[in-house]
Amino acid sequence: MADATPFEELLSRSQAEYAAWTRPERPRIDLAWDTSSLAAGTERTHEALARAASERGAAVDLGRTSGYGLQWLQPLAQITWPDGATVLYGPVTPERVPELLDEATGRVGAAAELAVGVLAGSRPGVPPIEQHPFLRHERGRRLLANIGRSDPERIEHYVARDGYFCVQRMVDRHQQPEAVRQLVTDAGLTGRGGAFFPTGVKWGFLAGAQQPRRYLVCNADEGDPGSWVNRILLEGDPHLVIEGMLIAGYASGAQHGFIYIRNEYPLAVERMRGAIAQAEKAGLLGESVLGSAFGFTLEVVRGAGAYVCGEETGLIASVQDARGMPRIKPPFPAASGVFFEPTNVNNVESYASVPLILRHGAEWYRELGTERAAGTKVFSFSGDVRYAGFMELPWGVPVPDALAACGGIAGGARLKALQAGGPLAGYLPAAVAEEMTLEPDSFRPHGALVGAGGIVFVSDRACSIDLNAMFAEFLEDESCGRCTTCHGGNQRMAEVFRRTGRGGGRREDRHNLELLGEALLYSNCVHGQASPTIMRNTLAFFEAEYDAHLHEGRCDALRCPGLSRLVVADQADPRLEEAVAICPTAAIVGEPGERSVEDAACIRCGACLDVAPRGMRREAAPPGTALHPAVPRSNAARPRLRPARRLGAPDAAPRATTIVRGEGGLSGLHSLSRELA
Amino acid sequence: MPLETEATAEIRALVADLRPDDADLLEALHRVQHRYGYVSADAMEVIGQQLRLPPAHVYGTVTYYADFRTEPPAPVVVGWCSGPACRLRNGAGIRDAMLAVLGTELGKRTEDGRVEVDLQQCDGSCERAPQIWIDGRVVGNLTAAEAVRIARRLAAGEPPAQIGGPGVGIGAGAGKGAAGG
Repeated sequence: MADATPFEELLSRSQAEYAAWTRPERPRIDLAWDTSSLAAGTERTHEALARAASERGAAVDLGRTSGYGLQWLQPLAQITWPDGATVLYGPVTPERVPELLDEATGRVGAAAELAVGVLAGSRPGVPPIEQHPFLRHERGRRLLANIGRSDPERIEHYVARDGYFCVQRMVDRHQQPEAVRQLVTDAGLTGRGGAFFPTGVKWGFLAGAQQPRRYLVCNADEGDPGSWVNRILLEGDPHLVIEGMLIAGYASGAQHGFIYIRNEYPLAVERMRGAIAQAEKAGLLGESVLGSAFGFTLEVVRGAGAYVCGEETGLIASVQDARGMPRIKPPFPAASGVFFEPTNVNNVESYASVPLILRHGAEWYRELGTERAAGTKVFSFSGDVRYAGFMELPWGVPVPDALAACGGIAGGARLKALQAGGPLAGYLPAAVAEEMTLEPDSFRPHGALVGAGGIVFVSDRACSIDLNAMFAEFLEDESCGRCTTCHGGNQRMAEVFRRTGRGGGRREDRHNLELLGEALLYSNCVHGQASPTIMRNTLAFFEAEYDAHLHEGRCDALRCPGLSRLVVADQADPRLEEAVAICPTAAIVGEPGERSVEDAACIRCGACLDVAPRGMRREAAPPGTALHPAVPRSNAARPRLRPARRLGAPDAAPRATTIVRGEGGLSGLHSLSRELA
Repeated sequence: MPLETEATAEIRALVADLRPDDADLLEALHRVQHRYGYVSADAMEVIGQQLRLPPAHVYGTVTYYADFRTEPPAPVVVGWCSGPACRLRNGAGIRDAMLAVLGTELGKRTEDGRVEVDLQQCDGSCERAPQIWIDGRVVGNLTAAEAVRIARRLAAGEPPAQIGGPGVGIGAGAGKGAAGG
């Protein structure tokens, strides 16, 4: 028999290591180690655990994994016993460490209160994790299969769980790149950044390029506020992304790849860099992948806080030593991308889906999802829900089901709107959202997009105008400034919503917004083209709310600072003294029993309500109520270019626009812009 | 070219392995900012020489991105999360309350120069909304009142490490999912 190849050696070493990890000699406690658990203080839990274990001389080991998705239960921890059973616990704060340690060392049931679900084997009294209400709409984890079931910093764990197997098979058998692309196309994989362009077809563009030097770019500049789908994969299973890029490189003839990660994800940068170094050492990345003629290398580029770099041409500009400003397409990246060489840009999740398709086949991939949207998608859920976290769902889960899994709207309020896919993708009312499913085709007819997987549920305590002001300011801040249409248009849009919230909306503003909605479609890139989406949705579905703000000076949610005020509701409330003391601007004046709020000094922050919910109240501000000049503050400290002015006359409104459908990128906004036009 | 000083030599050593036309400019800027807290004019020149880019190009890049600084940060940096989940839970009130106590604006230092409050983007730990970061440490499940207290302690010169901390407010209303299904 011939000597084992380097991959066979890695495989047998990995299988041994992983077998020992899943059936350890003595109990092991793994803490979830990700951005969310770190925010919850998992480092303090780790310290407490290490100290308690050494004080007791407990026969346990400590390790790490990544959080299973039930983020409100962070810090999450898992115990794996020698019999192979693994149970998930949370929230394991430092105070709960003794219980966990008791449970790990044999006092069965000591941490029963913290038990969330069984990940492997069985444990009396603890249900399988799949039965957890939050996860009830999952149909088996594919992209997230290794989350919570491996140490993301060990390539051995990934390899032992079938990782890199199909890369090895691909290069050993000299599979035709075309056949690999066809398989991806047959599976129905479409761009997960939100554009849903067939991934295999897109790779074909690169494979057909004339120039021999070709690049891959992985778009991990996940800037949509409320989306953290890419982060889960980068932090939790970095080798899955690497393997996907290796396959894409093979199938499209690229030799080098860049993984562009936003600066807000330092742990993802660290994990990806570590994983790349491991893969290089294992001979999986380099001049010769596993000894074959195929060479592929990877590097991480760390972004620096520019949302518009999520647009593919902006991303490419950022990679090649420049300001990340998008440019007009064509030329498309497949013709001229990084360093003006042919380039393919895909989202993290697109690349991560590819190894699964190669391992299990196109038919397996299509088993889940809908006829028009194959496979699964990771969604992150947040907003006014009881339970925030992420799930991997097949396409097509009804929105109300997803909301119910998140525990519904918190605090007895009702669903007001669904804000999916970030600031460019849409804002739909409950009545529409409740009839929808989580898949691209369900969103499009309403002039919205499902986007890259961030879902924010908005309760009826929120104000649409306030949210529009927030998104408009974001879009204004994040406009690259290259085209006046976008940076000027978004400045005007932000001003309109800001003054509407201050009670200074102008009668012509409604027309101004409609005009902006059309004018912005002429922007150079999707950032500008899609920036009026939420505003258009608002005017279409929340017209009465907008009109109430504009014509009656009424904000029913009492969120807009110029249309609401704080008043003393109960002079007898003993906590009123606390309210007086907490007010940052000393706006609550008068002697005890005769307290009142000085409107012109009040900044409407609500601190007094937090401490004296009975003694203080928000109410509608009558016309002419004085307002503190600092309210509402603009997000940006930099000066505005110029004050508001009226846009052109109605007749000047553009009537038609030609927007070329892109081959993908940040999201499918080209097509949306065209439909909206 | 300015005269080589100890400071510029140190920066040069920091970026010595980076090459022109190799997607290295952001990396160079990150390294310098990580080391010094900001990117000085000297550093921009040195990076430009190393990557064969005009200093104006480097300056243009530094000022384009929100996360690069051209001046040192304040001793205490508070990050305010501008994301939607925070906004839905009075994030704007928290911002205004902190700024009112500290008497400053987003992106600017307090009068005594000790504290600054910066706008930060969502990082997906929305279960802790609304949240801020104090010197990079998450303080979550905030209220406007709590923000006022924190800002007052910072304004009084209390060491930031003693304020808040990860997991502040954990357990407040955070029930088990099984009950909520």
